[in-house]
Amino acid sequence: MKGSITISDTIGTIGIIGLILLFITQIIPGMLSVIVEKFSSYSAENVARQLSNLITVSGSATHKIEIVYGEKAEVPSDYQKTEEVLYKIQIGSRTIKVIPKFKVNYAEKSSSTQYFAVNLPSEEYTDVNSFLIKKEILDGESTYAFYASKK
Amino acid sequence: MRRKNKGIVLTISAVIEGLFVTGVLALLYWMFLSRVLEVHVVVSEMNAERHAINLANVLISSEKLAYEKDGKISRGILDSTKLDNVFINKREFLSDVRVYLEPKDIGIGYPNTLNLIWVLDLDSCQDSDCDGWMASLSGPVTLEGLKPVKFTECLAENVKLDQWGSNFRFYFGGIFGALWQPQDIEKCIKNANPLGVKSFFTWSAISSSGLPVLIRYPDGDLHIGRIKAGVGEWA
Repeated sequence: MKGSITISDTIGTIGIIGLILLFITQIIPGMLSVIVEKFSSYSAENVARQLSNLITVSGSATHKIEIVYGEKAEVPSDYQKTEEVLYKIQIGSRTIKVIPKFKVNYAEKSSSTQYFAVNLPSEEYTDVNSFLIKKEILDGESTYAFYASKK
Repeated sequence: MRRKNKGIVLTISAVIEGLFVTGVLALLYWMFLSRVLEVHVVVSEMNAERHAINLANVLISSEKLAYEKDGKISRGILDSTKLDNVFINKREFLSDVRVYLEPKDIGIGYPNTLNLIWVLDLDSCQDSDCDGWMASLSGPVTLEGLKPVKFTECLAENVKLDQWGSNFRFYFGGIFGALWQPQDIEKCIKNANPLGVKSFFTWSAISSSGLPVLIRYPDGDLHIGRIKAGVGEWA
């Protein structure tokens, strides 16, 4: 028929199969990649390792140092990725335990405990995502402090 | 059945089919995310090596070991007087190995860990035998059943001072002799490990070669040296 398009069942079926193939081969892997990358950055394991290392290496400053982690930096940074997730932080006996609070089911809920090598007072923070590590010398002794807040 | 219509027309059934397929795909995707998928993060790295390097970096900046002038700490310059006070001199160590393995608390050291520190004065070396200081730094023990003391006692019992000749020597970059052979340490690790606890020890060349330092003596002399941190962790 002139000026008309006929959509047959065959064409429809082929279209649907094409859509499903596109979904399986292109869209799902892309989405999974984004999800995995995102949750690797936000994971308890990553945040605990980063924080424990930063706490320890703050001790290599000879006078005073302040290290901020998790705040949205003015310059885009690949490792400061905590602004979208809240964490519970427990510090004691030179260990830091990080427990994330993810809103989605597919994120790993497990916590991570990591060691650091300097003295910090025992503390606990809930629902935080921005961290500050301070080292200074008071009365000739290195003193360390850890602060956490929600941004 | 063939459907023919004028212009660009989708039949009601085609629209319903499309919506149905889209709905099924969305449902499958939702079920995949909420019921099937769970993202686990596994970080693979040489934790003990990283800790050893961090520990050495903290020590060379610490007021407990570094040379201070007018209240300013000189990073990387270790004060021999402070080393004498905090660490065990090699000569004392030779008289009793257990002295070295008694942990010293200077507020620096990883928990559940054997933090072994060597400082060598490379300018004093004669026939590959150098003066130096050693210490085992203490850290909290939080793992149930872990007994680092048992481990260090085992190490003390297995020291072989004459392994590379008649003199005790440090192991350093393959030049000097070793205190313990790997099999001795592995035996001691097994003895001290509670069930389910893993151990990680620094073996690589990174931590074996240590960090370069200067050692300042009371007369103002500066000697070239090295600080090495050996870390054995339980987790």
